[in-house]
Amino acid sequence: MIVAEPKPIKEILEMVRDLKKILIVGCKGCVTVCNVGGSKEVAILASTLRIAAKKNGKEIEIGEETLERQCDPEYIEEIKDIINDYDAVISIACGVGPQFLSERYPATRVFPGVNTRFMGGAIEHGIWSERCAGCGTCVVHYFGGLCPIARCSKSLLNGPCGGSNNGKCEISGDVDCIWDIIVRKMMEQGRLDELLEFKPPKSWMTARDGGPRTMTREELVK
Amino acid sequence: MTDNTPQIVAFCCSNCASAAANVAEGMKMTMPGNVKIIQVPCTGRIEVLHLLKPFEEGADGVYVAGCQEDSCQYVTGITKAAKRVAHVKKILEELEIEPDRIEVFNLSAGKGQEFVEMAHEMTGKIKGLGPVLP
Amino acid sequence: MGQEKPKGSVVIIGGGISGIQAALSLAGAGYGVHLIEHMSSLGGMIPNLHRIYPLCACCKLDPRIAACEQDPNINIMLDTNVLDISGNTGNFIISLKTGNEEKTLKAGAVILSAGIEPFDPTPHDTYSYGNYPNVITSVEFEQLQRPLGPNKGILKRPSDGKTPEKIAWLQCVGSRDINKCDAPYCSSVCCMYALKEAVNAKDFNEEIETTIFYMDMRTHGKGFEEYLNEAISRDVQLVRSRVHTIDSVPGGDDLLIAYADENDKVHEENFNMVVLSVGLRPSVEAIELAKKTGVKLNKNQFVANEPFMPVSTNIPGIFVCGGLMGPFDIGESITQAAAAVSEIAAILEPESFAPPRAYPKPIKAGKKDPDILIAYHLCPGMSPGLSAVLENQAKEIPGVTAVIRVEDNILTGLTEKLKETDTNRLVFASCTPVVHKDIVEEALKLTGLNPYLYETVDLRAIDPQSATAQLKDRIRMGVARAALITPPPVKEIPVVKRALVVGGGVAGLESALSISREGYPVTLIEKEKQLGGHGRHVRATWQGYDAQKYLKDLISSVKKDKNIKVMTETTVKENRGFAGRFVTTVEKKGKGKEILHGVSILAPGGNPVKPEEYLYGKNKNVYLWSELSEKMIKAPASIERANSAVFIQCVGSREPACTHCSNFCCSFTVRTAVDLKTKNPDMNIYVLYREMRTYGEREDLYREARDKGVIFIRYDRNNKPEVNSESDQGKLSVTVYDPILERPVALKADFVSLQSAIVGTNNQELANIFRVNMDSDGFFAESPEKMRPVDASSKGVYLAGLAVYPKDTGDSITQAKAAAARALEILKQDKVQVGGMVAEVMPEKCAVCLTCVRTCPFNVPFIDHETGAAFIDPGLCQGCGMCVAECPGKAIVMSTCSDQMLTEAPSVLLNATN
Repeated sequence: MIVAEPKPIKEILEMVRDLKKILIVGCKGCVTVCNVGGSKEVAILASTLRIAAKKNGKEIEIGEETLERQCDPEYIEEIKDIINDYDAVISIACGVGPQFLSERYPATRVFPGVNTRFMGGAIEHGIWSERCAGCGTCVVHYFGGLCPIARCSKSLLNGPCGGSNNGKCEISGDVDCIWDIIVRKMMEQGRLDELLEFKPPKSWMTARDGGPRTMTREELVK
Repeated sequence: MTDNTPQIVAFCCSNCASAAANVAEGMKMTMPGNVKIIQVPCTGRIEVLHLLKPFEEGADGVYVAGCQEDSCQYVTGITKAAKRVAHVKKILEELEIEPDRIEVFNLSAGKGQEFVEMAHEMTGKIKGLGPVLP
Repeated sequence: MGQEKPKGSVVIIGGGISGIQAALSLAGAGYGVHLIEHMSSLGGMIPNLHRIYPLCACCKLDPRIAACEQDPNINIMLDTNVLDISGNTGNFIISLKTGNEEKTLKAGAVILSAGIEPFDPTPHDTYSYGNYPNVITSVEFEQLQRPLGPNKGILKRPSDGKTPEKIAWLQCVGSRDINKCDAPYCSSVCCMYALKEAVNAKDFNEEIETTIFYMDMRTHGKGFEEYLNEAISRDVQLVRSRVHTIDSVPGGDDLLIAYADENDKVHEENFNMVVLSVGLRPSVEAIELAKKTGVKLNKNQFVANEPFMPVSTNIPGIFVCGGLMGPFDIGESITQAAAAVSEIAAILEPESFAPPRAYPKPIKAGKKDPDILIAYHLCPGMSPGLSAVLENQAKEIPGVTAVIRVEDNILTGLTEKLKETDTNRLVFASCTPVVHKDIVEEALKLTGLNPYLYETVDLRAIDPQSATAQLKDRIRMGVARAALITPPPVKEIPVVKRALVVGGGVAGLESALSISREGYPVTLIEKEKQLGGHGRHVRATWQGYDAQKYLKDLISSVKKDKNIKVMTETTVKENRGFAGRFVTTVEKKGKGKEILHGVSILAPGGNPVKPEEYLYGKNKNVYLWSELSEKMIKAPASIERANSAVFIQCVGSREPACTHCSNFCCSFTVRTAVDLKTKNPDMNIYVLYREMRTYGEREDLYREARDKGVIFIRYDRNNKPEVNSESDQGKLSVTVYDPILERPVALKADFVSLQSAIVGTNNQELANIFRVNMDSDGFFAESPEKMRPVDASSKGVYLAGLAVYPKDTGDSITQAKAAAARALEILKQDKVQVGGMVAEVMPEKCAVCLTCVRTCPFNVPFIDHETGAAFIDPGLCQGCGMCVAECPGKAIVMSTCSDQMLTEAPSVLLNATN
């Protein structure tokens, strides 16, 4: 899933400083699953903004909506009748949400309420970890099913580098060296020799480096 | 209610709140009228939103009173509640509201008078901070 | 079932916790109960105590007392003494005296649950109790610590009201001694309560210096050793010394204690206060009554009974639990009470005082709008003015139809008023509403309403200065919440009348028999080929009874019982469902089978750990204790002929890797040593121990062993004995440092017995399958609801035997019978109610994010792939609401404590009074 975290309240307050009517829009997709943008968080942010307004002696009106997903136009459509009642929208979906909203409702100011962090999964309740960099050409099978592109700080394909220290990456003791894990796993599977095969430099054309991406699947297009 | 009496909302777990009230009553201690109690089956039921709502409605302070961490009937209820209170403290801080306006208390087993003492303690503390609105 | 049982009610003599517990269980099973107490209130010893180890459970006594008071099948008789008991099962005559009035009762069976009293230390003139004000008993100290005590919980010493800076506890006052009027036995509970009092003193003020003078630190119960370690880490000082005299320090109220340490060095130390840890003994009245009735007592004046029939007396139909059975703690007393109930059920058909209640068909939610009845109940101690204030306030609140005051019979009062006013919601205000919850729910059911359509209001601790405003707040809150309750779905499901017992050891076999004799079928699962479990390695109980003969008889009665289906070489794979209806998958030789049952009893047993030290496995004459027993059962000659034997205690126990005390190893050793000495008085027997934990009446055996010449040498964990092989014929030599001789001594031994730690066999696996909690020592944990020692953390699952905690055969039997009694409470019901105060998933909102699955402390929610949503089984949900709070999509609701109630509550409360 796409993992996000709440934006600092101060930043949000600054964004909507002079606005009186705000609609907060949540999303029932990834951000609900990672406990940051579901209906519960919509209510919490709304209450927070109301308290802030009260403290500053301001009048404020806040609407609360949670869409099925903010990455599909049909769901974005669902707020068309109410959006004009508001001065602005705060989307607490991933970065896709505010953009789809902005595109559909060009007259409305849209603010992001969360910071989108990465594609990953929950290690346990409350802890998430990155797994995928969206490079466009998956190679995890060469590396014991683990991705050095997303999980090595240098995205090395013929690692590890000299900064691997007792299983940790030199950038921080909290970061595992994925190459340490890859090597151990290949040893356990008795396939260590496969790592000796040189991996030529990867083409990043399919990744973000090749410019913004659009994908078409003809068999699905109407 | 006089003007400088702070309005406080207390969320209490019904189990220990009741036992505590028993002791407090036996000791002829009384709850201050400015502390309004909302009972829940377990403090683990209380959400961040529930803790924010009183501030929205004009409360000056909020606290959660539950069991000791080692004697919660629902094992981790009070631990969860304490984490949520800590989160609300952060939100308050960002809103430039004193985080001390919200607290979590663990009622010591067998020391029910603390139930009343904490109400007075919180009242005193919030009085010192003054109202949320300037 | 078999032959006709007589019919009758039951008389319980003694209204302490065990009497109360027995009364409630019996009434639940349909018996009329006369609960007789010679004091003016129920509760016995507990109301005098400060905090109860291990958890605070003070809140659990009052609801039990209230339940007794309200139950039409329990007749409480206070200030009443029993003069005499005569007759036999089904036909006892009990003559009583209340004040000056004498009367007689008829009953089918009797439970003696009367009487423990603390030892009076006055005769010990060297302690000067009574002369020096700051020498007090432990019971008095508990009073000083209690928040409701004379000092309101502020620790002050009697002479000058100053908070003491140094407190000493003297253990074994009136116990383990045969001088004066002491008791020879160990009172079993004092080490723990002294530790608890010292830790509580530290809680009050960490600076207070606490010192406990003791002989052996006996923390032999479940979780006790951990508490001891905690106390030590809190800097509670432990000094191994029996103090002879307490002197006063001239010119003040302080006290001087002179004591010899283990090296015979004499120290003198001043204390501000000295607490005498007084022992327990049966009350004089209880002894007299027993004697008059013909109930046999032993030399310690406790009921003389066989370990295999732990709660029976020599008179059929008269049972015993609590204080008259011996010095026991609260948990043990409650277990015994339940066991006594199980024994009564076996011999007596219930005769009730009141017929079982009939409930009308639930009214369909025809009237949607909340129509609220406010009912209040005032205790005698409450201000009578409250009544008028309350009525005036309540009438002004919209939605309130009527306000009534209920008195003596709350249940009838409520039911009638609900019907009369045709209201559909109830707000109940009283001084302790939590104790009335069951009655309120009952009243709603009797009216045909959903039993959860009510809210309670607590009337305690109201400030008279703002009484009106506070009352108004509380009532308005109750009304607002009551109006918002939507009736939660409540379903009734028929109870599957079968029990599943896991484990074919003593505990499992006994509980299976106790359930079967009530007419309910039992499936008993044993993973080994043979029945008997650890019991097969038990030669004798500590009292010296033949355990093998008992076990043989037990196994044969189980095998003969057509109601019990025994499945050996069978393991449990999976369990689903809830109390009243479980489905368990078991596997025998690779073949799976599903068993439908209403209750589960877990008694998978335990085993001694195989040691890795002391040449175990390397020299054939080094035995594990179970192996020694087995040898003594099968081929005792070579053991009995030995010239010299060494027993090593605490092998791998009470060490960082395995911290608990295994409870019965000390008794095993002294029993074995005494028996060997009796057979072969010339044998040299050495017992190497760390603390001698022959608690309770086992102390008599310890004395006997010493009298017979068994030599006890204490060793330290940091200086363990060494076992070496001698060159010839497997002979051994053991070297141990003797603290009295102050040097190492070498002992020759023909054999060495290692008493290693007892651990559960497969507790973790079963805990996962049955969704029950474990304690930090790897044993099953008792229900967090407290004061339910044989209940697991999941309803309908009960625990017995070594898997709960190491214990001897007699205690295992008591626990097994208690577990059976609890299980029977469910089996005897025709239907169980599921739902009510539980969490419910709205599938259409569920994002299957697993938040609830990961948050629930009881592992109840799971993702149902058929519906594509999380599912919370209403029969398993404990109703804490933690998942409701954590769900990011607001897909989980709890209608009895809804989001709406909690988000709207502040505005109700805050905007009203202004």
